[in-house]
Amino acid sequence: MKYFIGRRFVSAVGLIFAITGFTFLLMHCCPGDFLTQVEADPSIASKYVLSLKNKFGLDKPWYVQYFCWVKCLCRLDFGESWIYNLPVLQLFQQRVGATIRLTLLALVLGWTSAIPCAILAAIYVHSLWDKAMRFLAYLFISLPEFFLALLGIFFAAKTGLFPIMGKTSIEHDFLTPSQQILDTVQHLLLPACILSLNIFAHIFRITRNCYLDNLHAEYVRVAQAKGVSSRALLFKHVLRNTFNPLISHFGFALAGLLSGALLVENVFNYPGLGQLVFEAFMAKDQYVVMGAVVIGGCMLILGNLLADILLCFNDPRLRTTLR
Amino acid sequence: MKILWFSIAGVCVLIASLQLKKFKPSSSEKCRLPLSTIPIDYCRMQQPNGKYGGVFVTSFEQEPKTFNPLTKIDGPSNNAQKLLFASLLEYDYEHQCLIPGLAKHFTIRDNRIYRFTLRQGLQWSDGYPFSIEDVLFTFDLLFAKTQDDRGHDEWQFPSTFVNKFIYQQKPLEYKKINDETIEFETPIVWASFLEDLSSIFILPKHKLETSVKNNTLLNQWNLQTAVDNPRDIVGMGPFCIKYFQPGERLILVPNPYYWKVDGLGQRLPYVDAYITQYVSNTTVRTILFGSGKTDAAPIGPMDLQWIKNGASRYDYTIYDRGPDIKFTFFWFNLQSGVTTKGKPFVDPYKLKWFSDVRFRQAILYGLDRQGMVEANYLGQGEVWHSFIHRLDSRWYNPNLHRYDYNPDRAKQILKEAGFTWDKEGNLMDMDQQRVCFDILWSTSGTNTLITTLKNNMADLGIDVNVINLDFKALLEIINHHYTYDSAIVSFRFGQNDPNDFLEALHSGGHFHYWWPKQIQAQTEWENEIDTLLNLQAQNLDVDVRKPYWDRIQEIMNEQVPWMPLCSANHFTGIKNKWKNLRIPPRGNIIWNIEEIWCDT
Repeated sequence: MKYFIGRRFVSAVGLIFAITGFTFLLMHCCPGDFLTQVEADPSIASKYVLSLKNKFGLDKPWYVQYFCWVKCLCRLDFGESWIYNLPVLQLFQQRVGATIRLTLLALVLGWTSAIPCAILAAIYVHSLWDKAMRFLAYLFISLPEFFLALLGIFFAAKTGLFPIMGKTSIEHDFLTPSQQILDTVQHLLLPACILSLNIFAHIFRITRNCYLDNLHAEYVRVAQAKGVSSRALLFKHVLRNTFNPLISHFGFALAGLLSGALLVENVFNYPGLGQLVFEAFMAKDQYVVMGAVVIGGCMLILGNLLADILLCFNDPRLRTTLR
Repeated sequence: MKILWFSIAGVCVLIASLQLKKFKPSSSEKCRLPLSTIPIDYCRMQQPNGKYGGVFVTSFEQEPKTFNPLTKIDGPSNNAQKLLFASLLEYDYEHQCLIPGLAKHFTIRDNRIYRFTLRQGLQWSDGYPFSIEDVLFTFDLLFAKTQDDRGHDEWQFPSTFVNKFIYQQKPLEYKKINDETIEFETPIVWASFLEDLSSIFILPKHKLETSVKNNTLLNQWNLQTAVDNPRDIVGMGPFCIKYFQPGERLILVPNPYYWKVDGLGQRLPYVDAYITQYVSNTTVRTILFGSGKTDAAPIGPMDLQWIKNGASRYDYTIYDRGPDIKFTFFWFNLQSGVTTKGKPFVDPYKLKWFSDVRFRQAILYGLDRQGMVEANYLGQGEVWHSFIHRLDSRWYNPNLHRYDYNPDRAKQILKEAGFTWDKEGNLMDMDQQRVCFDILWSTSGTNTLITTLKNNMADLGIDVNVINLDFKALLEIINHHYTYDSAIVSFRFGQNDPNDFLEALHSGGHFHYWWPKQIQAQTEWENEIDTLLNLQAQNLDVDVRKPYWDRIQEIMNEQVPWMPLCSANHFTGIKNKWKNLRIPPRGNIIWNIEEIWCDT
């Protein structure tokens, strides 16, 4: 197992360099740089823009800039945001809490609702419940997240049940601590629900299909023949075997913790990492974008690794393979 | 199954409980700091007296990127800093003139030597006394030099301001006369010196001296400072920061030591707090205002009608402030040079058309600019006839020739210039080459305007190929590559003095778009404009400068190197509960926020 983890870490380093190098190259293929728009401001002297170009290293070829950045990255220095004049990590720190809160709640809502619904749908296959749930899952998987978010805002505006935007209300700082918590939760619920719809749809479909496959497997018939109770059969043997694809999916879900809410954050004007990275990408604040790519890449690699480890615990057959 | 139903019930109960709990903001009084003594040289405002109280809520599309005046390069940072810092002179947007700020008065000698007398007894927002040392410290920072690795001199704290105070390679000189007086001397007469000076926020020496010594000044007062230690950001402006949450909002509370008072001697500002909420785009900003959630917002022509519908419900008024100074213009690339690969910037046969002033005049006659206003701004806009708008009566030349839409006149001029039409009605040049050109534009604002332009050109028999680009890509081409035929953009030039057009009008200017950065003026009329620009800059008197600007406008009008098209009218909505509003024709509607008070 140790050898397996070590090998994955080594390959991860190469993967990160490949991802970042490719991203850096792509960013430089797009016309203009961070200072292009600054240069177009008549109130800013061109000499000052030149000095900034020199300071930011934008006068150097892209590969030189990339290697300078990689050198800093090796010291865990992600560089500085040109827009905010702040270290990238400090900037992420300002927003990461809001994003994790949002995505974590969405994950919990999505997973906890999808698994029971899927099991019920599989047990009562072709029932009204199954059909209704399948329809909803198709609907949520087909509708783009940003469109769902817009529908959510429309719903909030019409019913007044939820605030339409932001992380907290304007009066937040004048509220008592308990009111502040309630205010935060109120702002969090709708975007989290919208995010969770897509998660629900995916998890529902995976769980239902897998559960159905297992229900018709040979070992179930053997267990039934041996007199295992239906309860034990459905919620112990079949359920445990259904978990494998879910655990693999969990790895991806973990990667989406920091970067999965970009569209929803932008539609809801929720000040999280997604909004920051989107703004940085549009402004070509390259070290912020690169920082997000590195963190996103690392989360994906870690998520997959964690999923593989969890799979080993769940499925003894895999332990032998890894060895 | 039970778990599922319990979860659903739990979520329902939570939502219901949140709705039942109505938030009642605690008294806004707690954000008011105790008033200190009134300074000796206070500035008494002339507006009717108001009363304390109220929270002014507004929204903005972009948040500030820094609170350090030396590192700002964007509008949102400047807007936020205007509320926190003060300058020697301030701008009165209502009367469009400079008024005393931290300096109580000033004198001018030989049009070059400016002597400022500072107000006495003033204090920074942390209570520390303000003195002439702070003014000297600020200018020392601007002009501080250091040496780079190769031993060359460079600015220690490069900022966008320093270049404003370098005149023909010579920097501005300044010296302390006594504890109250500072003298500035410009090496040459420079018309917009006072204007430039008003953009310099005075910085507190006692707060920033240490960071200058350890060379960390440019990293001071960034967003993290505003989050962690907002009280660390010290200024002389009407407000100081109470709370800043990146991407969400900025809450400002009155500066307890502010130096302006009303007729009763009450220290300003009146409001208890000034909150700016940051939103993702203009639409959200308009919606927030239209639903009564913010107190003021600019309104676009397209949103005007539905916003007006809510005026009585939410008790606000929409003010029509005339045309926006951000106007759209169109120009042909007149550069005769070649790229590094030896390819001409503009095809020679096209350059021949573009360089002919008659062709440019005909094009302008052929453009239905009023139609553009109708189509793009639903009639809520205005055609421009010069780069200075007619409402700027100090500088606008009313005697300019007007190129009103007249396709017949356009065709006549083209005919005189040797152009002909083939059987299909296509415009042909003298060499029987069909007249067609590319036009670069970006989706960031001109929308239906480009359709009108294309149709107008088709009426003249000209085929226009529209190339839609990302704004950055467009800027890259017009500023660096120069390989294009024509372009259309919207820009906002300076607001207060036509000298802000210097870079656009001078042949060596960066924004001289039709042929930027010329080493020597390539045409006689450009040479004349350069001379006139230099002459006007050497006078401070508006009456002396005006004839020069009249002539510059005449030349631009005659030569049409760029064609001013139109701009949208500028509407701003504000709630009626706010009093002492002094609505300026342009600029921020609440530019005098310190005087504004709430009557409810």
